[in-house]
Amino acid sequence: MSDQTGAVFDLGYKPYEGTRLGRSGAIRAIIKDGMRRVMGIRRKARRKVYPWTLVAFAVLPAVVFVGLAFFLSTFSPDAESPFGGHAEYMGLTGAIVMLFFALAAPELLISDREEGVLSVYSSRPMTAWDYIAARAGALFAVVASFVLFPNILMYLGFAALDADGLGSALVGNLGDMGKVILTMTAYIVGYGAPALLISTYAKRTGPAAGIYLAIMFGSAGFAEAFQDVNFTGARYGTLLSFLQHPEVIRSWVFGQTQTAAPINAGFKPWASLLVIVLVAVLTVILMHRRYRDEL
Amino acid sequence: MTTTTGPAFASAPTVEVDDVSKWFGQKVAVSGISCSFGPGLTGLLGPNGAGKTTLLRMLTGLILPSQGEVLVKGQGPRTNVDRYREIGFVPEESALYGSLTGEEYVAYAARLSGIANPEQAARQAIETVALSDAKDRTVGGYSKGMRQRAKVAAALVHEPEILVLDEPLNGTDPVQRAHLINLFQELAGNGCTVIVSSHVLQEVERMTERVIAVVDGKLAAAGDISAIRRAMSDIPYRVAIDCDQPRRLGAALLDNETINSVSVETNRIHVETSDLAGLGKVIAGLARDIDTRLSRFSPEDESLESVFRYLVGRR
Repeated sequence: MSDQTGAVFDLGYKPYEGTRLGRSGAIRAIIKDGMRRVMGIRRKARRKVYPWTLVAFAVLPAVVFVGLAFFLSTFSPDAESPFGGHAEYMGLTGAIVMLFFALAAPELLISDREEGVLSVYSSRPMTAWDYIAARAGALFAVVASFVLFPNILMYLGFAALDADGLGSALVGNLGDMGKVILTMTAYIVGYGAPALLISTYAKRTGPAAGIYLAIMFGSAGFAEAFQDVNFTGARYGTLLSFLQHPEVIRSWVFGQTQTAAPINAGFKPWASLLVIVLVAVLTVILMHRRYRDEL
Repeated sequence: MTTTTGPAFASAPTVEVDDVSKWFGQKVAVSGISCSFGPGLTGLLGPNGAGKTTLLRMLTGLILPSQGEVLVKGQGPRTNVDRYREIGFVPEESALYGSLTGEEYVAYAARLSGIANPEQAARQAIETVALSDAKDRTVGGYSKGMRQRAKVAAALVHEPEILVLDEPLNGTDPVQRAHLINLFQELAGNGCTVIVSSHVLQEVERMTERVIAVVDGKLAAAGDISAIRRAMSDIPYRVAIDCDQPRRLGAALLDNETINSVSVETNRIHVETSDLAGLGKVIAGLARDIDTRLSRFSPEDESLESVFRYLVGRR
């Protein structure tokens, strides 16, 4: 039998002696955390259902369209795609973007306040601006991913089927991707800003999502009503159609026929752009006012 | 700063509080407090609602004073966020993401502080608070004591020079408490400015001699516990004296002008005096005169609890 031995280990403080990064490292960490949070990663299954269902609705049709286009091309190589192009697809994803923001924005902002974790951020080398930018950045990055991915798939897939060859189709259709990015930005800012604004002040995630959807759909109904009212200045009421402004931009960018209330009331598309920008600026100002004392 | 000397002020301050007040609407939470904190451990005492948490949140820049100024190493933390590299803060509230594991949470805190190797730093900090066995469990399943230790690890992970802890021992068991107290003392001994608030006086008494007491939002006392007690000259001292003839000794003591009252038990008398030092000088002679043997002479109210009770009672 060997001699008994013993040791006492030092549990004392062992300081970190490595490199220290700037605020950008903190912002990246918050963005990554935010992306995981809105997608329900490392959370209970019921937290994953809503975001992943919406992502599936955004992505799967493109996969099916491209797959069917390949399949049909074996019968008729010169046939046009029967499923429409990027403009139509952006119309579909626009609705999904709005529904995604309805729950993801409250999940990001309200949960931090509910769980009392703002002090985790406020006692670190970062500002209220950093927090706001990182939280919004996380949301926008996720949305941009599931909007861009199916459009890139369609861009590549349809180019591969193009009679002029892949290379020339990729170059020739590059402008479509530019339009996709412009439209996506309009959706993200136009639908995201009101969602962030409501989540900045609402106390519970469920009611915040309900208020957001009520405002978006309610404002569209309100605008539709105002376009038919016949008194001076009534047409300005159509500018409150937060739901339709990104749609106006989509039709504007892709050169499609405009049917939205603000256009029917005689406004040019740039009026919708102006409203989107104004709401975004107002959101940023009010978010900073809300968080500057706590962060 | 106005005045920077006296027991409320540290000789080499890292955190300076200059005539700071904070009010929320009509309620005054902190009123005109001036003090400073330097390397070593300082206990911040006060009954519930005294303004401790508000003061700590101002020290760390989480809220701005309504009046006055707080400087961390010469700068306001809110105007220079880089100061937060030198501050670690354990808030009283939960401040935890329940879905993250202990290690993920502490590593996240490390990333927020700009640590280049957050996983390694997190493992070290978790080991420091003796939470390694539970580091892979989600924080949501932690006990209250484990949550407290996770918060302490997150506050330590970037090696702050100033550590501010708001009721850090709440919910910890005796072993965890002893470990954390040792840790705070070790950090303080290594030159860290450690400020610990607590309303559990025995904990503070175990940790440090230097306290700052806040009552009703005002600075009620500061300095060493025994010095604070001595400064309360209007409150008589209570002393327990063990001897074999307590009634005779009690009667003899009552002839002395500095003795306010005497109560007698079987082998002990309790004396109230306004002059503790004077009593110490005469007691031996009195005992000799009446031929009684003294076995114990001990002040009964130099404990932090007694001092604190007096402070709160003075308002």
